[in-house]
Amino acid sequence: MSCDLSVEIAGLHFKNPVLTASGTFGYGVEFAQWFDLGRLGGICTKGLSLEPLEGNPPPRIVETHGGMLNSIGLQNIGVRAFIAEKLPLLRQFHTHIIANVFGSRFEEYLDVIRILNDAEGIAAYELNISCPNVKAGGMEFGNDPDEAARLTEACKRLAHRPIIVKLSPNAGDLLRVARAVEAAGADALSAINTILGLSVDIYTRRPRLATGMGGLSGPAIKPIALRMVYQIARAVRIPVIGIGGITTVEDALEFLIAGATAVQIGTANYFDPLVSIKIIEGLQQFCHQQGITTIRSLIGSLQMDEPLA
Amino acid sequence: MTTRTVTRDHRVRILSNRRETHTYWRLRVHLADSIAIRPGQFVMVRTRDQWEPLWRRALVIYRAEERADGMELEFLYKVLGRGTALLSRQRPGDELEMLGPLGNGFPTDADSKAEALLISGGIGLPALYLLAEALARNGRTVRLFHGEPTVEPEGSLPALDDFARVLGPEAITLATEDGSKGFHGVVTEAVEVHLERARRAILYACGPTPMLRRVAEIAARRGLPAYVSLEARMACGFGVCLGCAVKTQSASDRTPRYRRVCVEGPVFRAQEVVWDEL
Repeated sequence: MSCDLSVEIAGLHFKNPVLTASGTFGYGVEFAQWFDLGRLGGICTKGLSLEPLEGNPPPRIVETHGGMLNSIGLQNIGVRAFIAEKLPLLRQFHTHIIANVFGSRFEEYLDVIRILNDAEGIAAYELNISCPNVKAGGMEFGNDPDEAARLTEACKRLAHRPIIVKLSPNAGDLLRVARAVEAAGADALSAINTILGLSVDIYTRRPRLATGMGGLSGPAIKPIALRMVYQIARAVRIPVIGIGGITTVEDALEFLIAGATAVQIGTANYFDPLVSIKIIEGLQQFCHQQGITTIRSLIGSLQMDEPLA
Repeated sequence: MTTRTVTRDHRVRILSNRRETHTYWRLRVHLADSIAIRPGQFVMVRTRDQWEPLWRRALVIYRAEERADGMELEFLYKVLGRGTALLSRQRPGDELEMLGPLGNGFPTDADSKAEALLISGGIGLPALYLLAEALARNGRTVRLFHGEPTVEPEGSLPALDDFARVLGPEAITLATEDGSKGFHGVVTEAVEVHLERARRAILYACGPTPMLRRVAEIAARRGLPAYVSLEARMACGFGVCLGCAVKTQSASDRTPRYRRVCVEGPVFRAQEVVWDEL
């Protein structure tokens, strides 16, 4: 007997809880040569801005123990080129396309959403208020509960589609930001974005990234991400999508048990382009072995005598 | 068997994996498929289900041979860090996950009247073997200039013998910076000496960035076409991490822009690379 892997988020039905994370899956079409994208619960696109962005100077990435730092600088082709060149192919697949949106200014977020509103085949918007790598990457919104709420409210008023707000682990008070954007009308949250980090070349005594600091991702951040997702899921009523170093089906299950309604696979896509499919198959297998009929019964099922502090 | 051109994550079996000289390892694997490979293309390799270290390692395809039951691929690599150290511990019979072929590769039909000068430094050498083979097969005049800081303790590089079999020993110039063997000096100086008597040449190069930059300068000054294969840190190798960006300006660009070494490269026209920003 097969298990029902479907979940509901923001009124959308996802066939399974495995999505791919923004910035790690290109515009989706790059992976279509290897598997049917329709098998995924959803795809979060590369972050889209109003105009194309060139990104940061190299070196942009560095490998660390169990992870990597990146400072790509939100390089993207711009929202109009995405709609014209990528979306027509992408929307042929039977999966939810979630457009990741960012702006260097408050109004730019709204401009991008206005343009996306007219495009067919997009299920939801994910607001990036948490990129650590560019000054104008939304970090100022992500760190301030009031600013995050103001932005969320304005986007929500304009958007024809549900709004998912992607939270920064670098915010001083993550839970206050989470509650503020929920109150401002966010339909769901996703967490976490990368954690600000540093790597130094001991011979040149310079940072290994051209921009100095970068965002840490990969298996190394999973326990931190899991703790944060647990806390956020307890602090809000809207669904939380868990992100952070998920590489195996066990990782994905931990996030669901800790309270995530779905997960996004990020950095693992780089070293295993088929990882999302392996995790989906692994979920089915786990549920079968454990006699679980619906994956929803796992969500937030963490067993403990009293809530963790 | 049909030849595939699509890139896939192949599971390959190690036939041999041996330290060949002080610094070079030679890896031979069996691939159950037959795939079309262009000279200078690479694969992204990891041991089975490995994610520590996190990234796969990029290895240029050194040699490729058709077999009745698929293909045999050969790689030369240096143990430089955790990834290549792990690779060097894999034994015959072990399996590797090998994503490829990746990248654009060298053009083999450019300026077919010109003498082809292949220029390599250090571990850049493996990127040029399939090119040498393809050009020689097309009846082209091909010369190899290879540079090392010093000669290997065991003598000359066995890989140079592979090139000698294809091009003939007289077509190969070894340059050592300390003069321990062959031409005394950096490899680009040996190329310049040769170019004093050559009329028409096309340059193909792979090696350290200062060497490639010098090749670009030589080509520009003499008005020769030149192709360089670049290296960059890569997390994915197939165009999505955007980590391997290099600044380039092609004829159609109004201003320089970033291109991905893994997809638009690794081979670029030398004059398109913005060397100051590498």
